[in-house]
Amino acid sequence: MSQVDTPPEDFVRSSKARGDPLLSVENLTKRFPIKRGVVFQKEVAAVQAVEDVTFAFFPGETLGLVGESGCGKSTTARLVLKLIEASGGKIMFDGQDITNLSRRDMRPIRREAQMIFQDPYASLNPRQTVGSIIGTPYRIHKTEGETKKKVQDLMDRVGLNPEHYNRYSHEFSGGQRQRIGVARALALRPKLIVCDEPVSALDVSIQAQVLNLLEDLQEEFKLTYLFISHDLGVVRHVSDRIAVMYLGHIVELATADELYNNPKHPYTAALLSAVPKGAATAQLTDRIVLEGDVPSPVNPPSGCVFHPRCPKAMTLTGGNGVPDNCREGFPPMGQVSENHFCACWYPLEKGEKLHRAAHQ
Amino acid sequence: MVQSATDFSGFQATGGPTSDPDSSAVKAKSPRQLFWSRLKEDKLALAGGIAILLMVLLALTADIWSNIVGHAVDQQFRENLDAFGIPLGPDNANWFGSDDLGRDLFVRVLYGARVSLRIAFIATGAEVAIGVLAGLFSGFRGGPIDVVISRFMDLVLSIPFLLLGIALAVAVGPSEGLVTFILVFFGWPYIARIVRGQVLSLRESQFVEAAQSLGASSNWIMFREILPNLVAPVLTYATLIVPVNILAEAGLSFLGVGIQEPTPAWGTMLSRATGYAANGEAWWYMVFPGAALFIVVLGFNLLGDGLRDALDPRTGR
Repeated sequence: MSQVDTPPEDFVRSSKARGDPLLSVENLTKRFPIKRGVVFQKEVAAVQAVEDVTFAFFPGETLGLVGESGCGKSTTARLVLKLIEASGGKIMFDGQDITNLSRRDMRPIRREAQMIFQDPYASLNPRQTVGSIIGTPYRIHKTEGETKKKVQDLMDRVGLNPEHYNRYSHEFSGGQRQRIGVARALALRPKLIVCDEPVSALDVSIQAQVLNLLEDLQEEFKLTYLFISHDLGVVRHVSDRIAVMYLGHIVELATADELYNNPKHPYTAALLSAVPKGAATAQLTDRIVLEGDVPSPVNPPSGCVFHPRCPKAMTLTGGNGVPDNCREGFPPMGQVSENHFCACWYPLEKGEKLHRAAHQ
Repeated sequence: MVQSATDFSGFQATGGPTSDPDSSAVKAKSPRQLFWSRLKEDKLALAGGIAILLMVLLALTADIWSNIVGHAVDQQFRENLDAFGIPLGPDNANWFGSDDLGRDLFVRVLYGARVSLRIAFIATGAEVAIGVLAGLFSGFRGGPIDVVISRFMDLVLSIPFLLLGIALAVAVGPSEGLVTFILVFFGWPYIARIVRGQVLSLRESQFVEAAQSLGASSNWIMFREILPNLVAPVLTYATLIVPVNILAEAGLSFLGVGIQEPTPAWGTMLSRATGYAANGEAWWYMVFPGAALFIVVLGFNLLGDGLRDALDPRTGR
């Protein structure tokens, strides 16, 4: 994970010369149509959930994906695993273009790419025993060998009592249920596990245990994680690299330390400043308070989607609105340093403070 | 039985997330055990269930009872009618009295239970099978399949039941098979609608998404993931439509388009009894078949209500 021994520093743009990414997406877009009409439905608008997202990640690394609620994190996760169909763009998994694969053709891929869900209560079938839930992947893919033995080994590995094989999921606590979900995702020995807020629904005390389990499993089984969370502390703890999403766009992508120490995008800076730092060191004046609400993804702002709330853009013209290029064009992803990409016309300087601007 | 995050707090295995040694001490109840323990507390439902069991038992042993009293079901006894041809009331030989042809009403009520229960159970079974399949495909597949099935259900439900029943009986001649067909034809959409509604919510649940992410086929998801979650509502509703079917069959028979003489049926008996009940001449002729009908219908309704309460997770597990 964030150990120093294996720094995974490849980015989508610098990667082509180096190792092959396990998964890459290019210009991934998802629009959910809004339909009106009783009999003849016509599309009146679309929720632009994910817009033009490009990233890649490499075997063994953990890519964190952060952003506030509704920014398109979970949609991205489902697009990557083709649980929903993309409206545009390209998804490559292990060198294979899976963008247009049918459900049937996706089945071999599903053995390689698994998912851990956010809600450990809703993601387990209440009518099935634990053994049946964890054994489902074996039965679907008709693997050889005794399923019960394999399931009990898995239960043991994720810290569940194998004797609880015949229990129902409602007999377990939240943390234990999430271990069931982890065991199910692990059953087919996948290369990639997409973790969609895997600890958000758990107690803080349990979060650490599940995170440590995920780290141990990553080492043991050489897993690659796409780790989605809104909790910046958790993401920093587990991620090698972090992508920040705002309103369907990736606005910044950097190694974890680089992102936290030297945020370039004003939104990233605002997000990081919102992390509670504890009472003793709290400096409320450092907090960047964004004004207004997140705009509707049905009708996102022109240009840079962040410009109506951007504290930096407001300072640039001395209080006369935002610069024209912020309003007119979405900034291209620019390379700040080797491991740091940022989509902003006016990225922050190192150490630049923004909090004054926010109150204008 | 939508997945519910609220009601399991009392039954969590103990403490820590790792395999804790003492968790086996807290023995959580399986859903089936919970269901039984709750049903056992519901005295009314139990009474209903016992009434149904008794009636089924009587229906199954109708031959034996017929031998005991020494009266065959279609046997007519001149001595059971008085000088004016009016049937005689209950006595030691004819416990329920006799009907207008001098037949033993007790034996005929028992055989009538056979016919009524047989038709009701077969019709309910067929309605459940068709309704669950139609609702499952309609709700899960959506799109054109859903539109076709749903509109067809609307169509069926807009046809007047009695009129079509009478018309069909006149056209092809009344029979037990026709009665069953009419009941099934008009009954399945109710189950299909309930199932469709449940499936619409279940298919959006995360455990279905999890199955999809594992590569499960649509059939797997429908029959392995969703169907087990439909057992409770379908079982409850099936128990409540059995009495509806019994009453509908009795109604058709009463109108003369259901079960035909000499086959004994409660509805037919009630129909013939009306001619003798006007002045209280032969009260038994109407009371005993009517009471049998009443007991069975009430029993199923009480049991159905009890099942619904015992299977519903929201009434507090």
